[in-house]
Amino acid sequence: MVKADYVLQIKGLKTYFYTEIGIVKAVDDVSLAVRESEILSLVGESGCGKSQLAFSVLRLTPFPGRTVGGEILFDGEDLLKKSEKEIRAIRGRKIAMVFQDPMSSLNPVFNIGFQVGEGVKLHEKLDDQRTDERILELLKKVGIPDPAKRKKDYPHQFSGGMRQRVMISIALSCNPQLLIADEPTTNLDVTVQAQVLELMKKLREEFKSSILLITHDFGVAAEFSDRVAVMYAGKIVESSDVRTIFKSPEHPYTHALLQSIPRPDVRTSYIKSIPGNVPRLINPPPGCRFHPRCEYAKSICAEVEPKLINIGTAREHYVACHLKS
Amino acid sequence: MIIRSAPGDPVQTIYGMAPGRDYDPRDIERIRTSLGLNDPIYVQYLRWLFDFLRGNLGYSFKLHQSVASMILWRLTNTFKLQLSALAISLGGAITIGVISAVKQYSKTDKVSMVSVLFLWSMPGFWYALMMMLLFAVELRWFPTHGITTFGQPYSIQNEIWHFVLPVFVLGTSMIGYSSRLVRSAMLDVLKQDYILTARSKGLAEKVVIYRHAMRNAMLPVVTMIGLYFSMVFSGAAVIETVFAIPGIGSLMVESSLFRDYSVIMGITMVVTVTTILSLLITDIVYSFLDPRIRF
Amino acid sequence: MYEYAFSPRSIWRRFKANRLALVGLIIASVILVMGLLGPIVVPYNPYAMDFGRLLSPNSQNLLGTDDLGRDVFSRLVLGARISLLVGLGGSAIATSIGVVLGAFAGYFRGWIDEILMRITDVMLVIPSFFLIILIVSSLRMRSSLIIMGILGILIWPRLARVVRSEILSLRERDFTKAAKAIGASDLRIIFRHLLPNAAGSILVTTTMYAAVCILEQSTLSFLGLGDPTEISWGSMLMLGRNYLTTAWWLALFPGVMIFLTVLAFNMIGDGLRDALDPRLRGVK
Repeated sequence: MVKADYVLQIKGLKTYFYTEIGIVKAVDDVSLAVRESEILSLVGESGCGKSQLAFSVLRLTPFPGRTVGGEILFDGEDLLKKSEKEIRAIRGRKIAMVFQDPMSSLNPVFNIGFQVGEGVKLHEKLDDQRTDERILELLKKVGIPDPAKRKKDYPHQFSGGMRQRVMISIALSCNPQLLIADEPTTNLDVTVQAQVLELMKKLREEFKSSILLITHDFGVAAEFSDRVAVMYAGKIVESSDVRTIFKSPEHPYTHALLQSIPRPDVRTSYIKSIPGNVPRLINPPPGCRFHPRCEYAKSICAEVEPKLINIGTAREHYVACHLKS
Repeated sequence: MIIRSAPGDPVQTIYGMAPGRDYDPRDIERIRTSLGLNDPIYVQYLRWLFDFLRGNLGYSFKLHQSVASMILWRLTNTFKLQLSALAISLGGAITIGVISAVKQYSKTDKVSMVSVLFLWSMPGFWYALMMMLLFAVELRWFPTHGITTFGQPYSIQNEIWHFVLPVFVLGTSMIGYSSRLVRSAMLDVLKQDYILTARSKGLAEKVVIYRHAMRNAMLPVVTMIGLYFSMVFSGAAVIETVFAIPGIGSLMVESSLFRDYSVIMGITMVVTVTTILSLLITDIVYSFLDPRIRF
Repeated sequence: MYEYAFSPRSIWRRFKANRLALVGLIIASVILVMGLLGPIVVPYNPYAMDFGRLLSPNSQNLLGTDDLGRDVFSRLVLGARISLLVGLGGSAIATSIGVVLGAFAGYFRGWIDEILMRITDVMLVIPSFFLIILIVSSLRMRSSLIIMGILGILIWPRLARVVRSEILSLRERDFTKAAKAIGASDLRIIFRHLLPNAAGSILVTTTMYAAVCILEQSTLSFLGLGDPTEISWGSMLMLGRNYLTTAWWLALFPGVMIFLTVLAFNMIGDGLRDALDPRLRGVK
C-alpha cells in the first residue's frame, strides 16, 4: 500500500501540568499521525487528555501546563521548536481549530462578521472590501442564510448550530491544511450534529484539508472518519482505520468501549459497563494504565508499560497491549 | 436596575429634630414662629419642597447666605476635585488591574496587589495628613489649605497648584478598590473560551488582550465607574475637611456640626438627586456597551 | 493521599501558606491583646496629665505627650478598645442582620425576596458616609455603642446580597433536597445545612466589615462626630491635626495604629478568600 503523505506527525508528545498537588501527565508519550485529506478521529472518555493533545499542537496549552517532550512535525518542521511569532503565523492559517462550545467560544461583544474576518485580515492582509467579500462567501458556504444581513449580528442572536457553523467558517477562513475540531458537536442537538458533520465533510472535499476530530462519541467517529485512534489516560492505546477498529478491536479498552454502547437492535437485560474509574492523571497506575480495570490483565500488565506496535498486516493497526505482543 | 429611592426619608428625620440648643432661648420662639416652625411637620415639609422646586433653598442661619448659591459654589469645587481624582484613580486602576491580571502570579502582580492593599487600608484622613506633612510642610512644595492664596488675584495656575495635593491624595486612595475590581474582571475574562479562540487565530498577544479581553472586562468596570461617578457629588468630606477645601463634603460636615438645617436639607436633596441621575446614566451607558442587552 | 479542597484542615493549610494573611493575623492578635489587657498593661495613666506638654518621643514617653501632658503611648493602647469594640461589634451586628435576611430572602424567595431586594437596592445607592454623618450629627447622645449600632445597621445590605446569592445556588443542590426528603424543617435546613456551606464567604465579608467599621468610626471621631467621652485614635488625630507642624508625633502614631488594624483585617479577609478558593494553582 502506498504510504500517503503525512500532514501532521506527533511523536512522543508529553504535556504535563505542574500543579500544587502534583504533576498531571495529561499527554504522556503520544504518537499519532494525520495524512493528507483524511479525517482522523481521536476517541476517548472525558479526562483522557485528548483536548490537551489538540491544544499542544498549536501550543495553546494553558498555564500551568507545558509541553515537555516529543516532536510535532508539520510541513516537515517541528512546531515545538518554532518561535512565538512563527507559531502565530501558522495558527489560523495553516492549522485551525474549532472548539466545543460555540457560545462561549465566540466573543459576545463583537459581531460575527468581524470575528470571521479577523483571521483573514491578519493572515492575508486583504483590504476591507475584499475581506468583506470573503466573509460573505464563507458564511454562505457554511450555510448561514442571508449572510449580508446576518454578518452584523452578535453571537447571542444565533442558535447553537448556527454558531458552530460560524466557528467553522472562522476556522476555514484561510484555507488551512489541517483542521482540529475539539468535540464540535457535543453541545448540539442530534439533528444539528448531523448537519454540522455533513458540512465539515463537504468542506473537506472542497478545501482538501485534513481533519483531526476529537470526540467521545464513537458513533460520530464511525460515521465520519477514515481512521480512528483511541486514547486512555494520556496514552494512545489503539489506532487503525475505522473499519478495523469497529470490526476487530484488539485492545481490551476499545473492545469494552464498543461493547458498552447500548444498541437498540439487541435485547439485553443490562448495559455492559467498564468497572472502576478513569484514573487520575497525577499518579497513574504503573505499567499499563488500563490494567486495574481490564478483564484480561496479567501480572506483566501491572509492571511494564506496553509499547504501541503495529500488528496489522495489510493495513496499519497499532495497539499497545501485552496480550498482543 | 433603575432605582427610585425616597429622598424624603433622611430629610424628614433631620427636619423632625428639635432645633439646636445653641441658640439664645429667647430668640428661639420668635424665630420659630416667623419661620412657621410651629406649624405641623408635613406642612413645613411641603412648603420646603415647593420652595426647592422653585429654586429657593432657604437661608442659612449660620453663614447668612442663600443656601442655593452656597451649594452651587461648593459643588463646583467638589466637582473639580473629584473629577480629577477620579481620572487619576481610574487611569491607575485600569493600568494596574490589567497588567496584574495578565501577569498573574508574577512578582509584579503580587507586589502591586499588596501595595494597593496598603493604600486602601490607610485611613483617608491620616494619609492626607501625612502627605500634607511631607509635601506641604516639610518640603514646602504645595500649599496646605484652601484653593486660592489669600490676597493674590485669581489665576488658573494658582488654583491648580492648590489642588494638586488633595487630588493626588484622593485619587491614590481610591485606586485600591478599583484596581482589584479591574483585575478580577480581567482574570475572569482571560479564562473565557473566546480568548482561546482569538489566540488560535494567530492573533498577537497584545491584540488578544487589548481588543478581545478588555472590551469584555470593561463592562463591569463601567458599572464601577458609574458608582464612583455618582459619588462625585456627595463629596470626599474627609479630604475636603483636611485640606480646607470649600466643597459639598466639608459643607455637610460643618452644617451637621452646627445643625444648620436649611443647608443640610438642601445638600441632602441635591446629593440624592444627582446620585440617582448619575446612576441612571450609568445604566444607559452600560446598555449601549453590552450588545446582549441592547436587544 | 488527597485532601478535599474544602476540609478545614486544608483551608487552614492554605491560609498558613499565605504570608500576608499570617502577618495580618499576628497584628490583629496583638491589637486584640492591647484592647483586652489595655488598662493593665499601660505604663502610665492615659488620663493623667503628669508630663510636660508636647514632649517629643523620649525614653520616658515612648511616643511623646500631647498638649495636655498625657502620655501618647498609653492613650494609644487604650484607644484600641474603642476601635475594636466598634469594629467587631458593628461587624457582628451587620453580619447577624445580613445573614438572616439574606438567607430568608434566598431560601423562601417570593415576596420576602422582592422586598429585600428593593431595600438593599435603596440602601446601597445612598452614599453611606453621607448618611452616617447625617444621622450621627443629629444624635443628642453619642456613645460608641450607638455608633456601633448605626454602622451595623447601615452596612448589612452588602452581606445580605452575598448570602442570598450563595443560598440561591446552594438550595438547588442535592443535599438540600435530601434534607427536605427526610422531613427537615425549613429553618433547620437553612441554619444547619445551607449556611455552614456559605460560611466561607460570610466570614470573608465579616472581616472586611470589621475593617470598614474601624475606618468609619475613626473617621467620625476625626470629624468630631464620635464619642466625646472615650479615647479613640480618630479623636487623637483630630488633635494632632492642629499641631501638625509642631508636634508631628501626635498625628503620626494614632494613624499608624488605625492603618495597621485595618490592614490586618483586610489581610486576614484576603487570606481567607484565597484559602477558600478551590481553584488549583500552578507552580512554576
